[in-house]
Amino acid sequence: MDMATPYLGFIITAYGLFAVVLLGLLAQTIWRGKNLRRELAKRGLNDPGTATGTDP
Amino acid sequence: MQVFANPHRFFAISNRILPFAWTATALAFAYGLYLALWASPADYQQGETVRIMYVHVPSASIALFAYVFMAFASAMALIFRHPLADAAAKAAAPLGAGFCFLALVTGSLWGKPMWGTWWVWDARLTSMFVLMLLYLGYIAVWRAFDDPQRAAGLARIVALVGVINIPIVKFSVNWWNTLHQPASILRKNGPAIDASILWPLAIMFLASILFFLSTHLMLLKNEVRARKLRADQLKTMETR
Repeated sequence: MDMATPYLGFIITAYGLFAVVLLGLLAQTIWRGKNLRRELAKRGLNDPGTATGTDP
Repeated sequence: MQVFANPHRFFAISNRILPFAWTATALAFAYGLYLALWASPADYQQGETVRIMYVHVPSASIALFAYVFMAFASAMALIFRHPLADAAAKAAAPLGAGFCFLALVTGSLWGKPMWGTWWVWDARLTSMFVLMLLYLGYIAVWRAFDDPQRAAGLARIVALVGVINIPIVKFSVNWWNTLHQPASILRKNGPAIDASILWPLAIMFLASILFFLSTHLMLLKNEVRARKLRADQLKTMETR
């Protein structure tokens, strides 16, 4: 890529935004998953699919 | 399809798929970004700004795909009452909205140097903006009701009615005079762009669709967890 292009700022912004939105969506998904697992554990429930026995 | 109705089986299958899906996503993005930013040539007319296309086109395609997926899942929920169908539709909405937002903003960033304007109310841009509003409306419906059954009923209607907008987005450039260029990949006479540009675009599309599928699977798992939690909360309230 020619770094001297006058539109470098447009290209960097587009790719930067693409990365921020995708990583933001992923981070939010992981964070919500962690919170839900913690909440389930607090109530003495197993995370679905990882249960070895039945929930109380 | 009914195989996935059992949460334990669904979790077991998705837990097995996810590591491979994320590895494939990371590899596809690494290779796609290398091609998009370094290996591919500048366009003879657009120069370096053509590189914005490698994030704009996959974002727009997945925004459309996600809505069709949402409508299909809503139809499955309505017809077959599949227990995960509503959850699958709900999980696709934030991803679709994210990609739709990216398509609008990166399109604007590409439009300014190429068209001399950030935005015009032409048929393609307007129908894409309507798609963004449909996503936001769909998400708002799920958040507006305490009762998930009522929310699901209305959300299915929004998803199924809104799918009318998808062919309008796709064919708007053929039906009306638009500043946005007509289709250059999915055409009767084959792609109108050179292979040196088409290949990075295909890899970036593959990476984006893998990202969508991997994240969607994780969001779907969260939906199952949230349901289990809600069921327990209701049980606790009833016993009080």
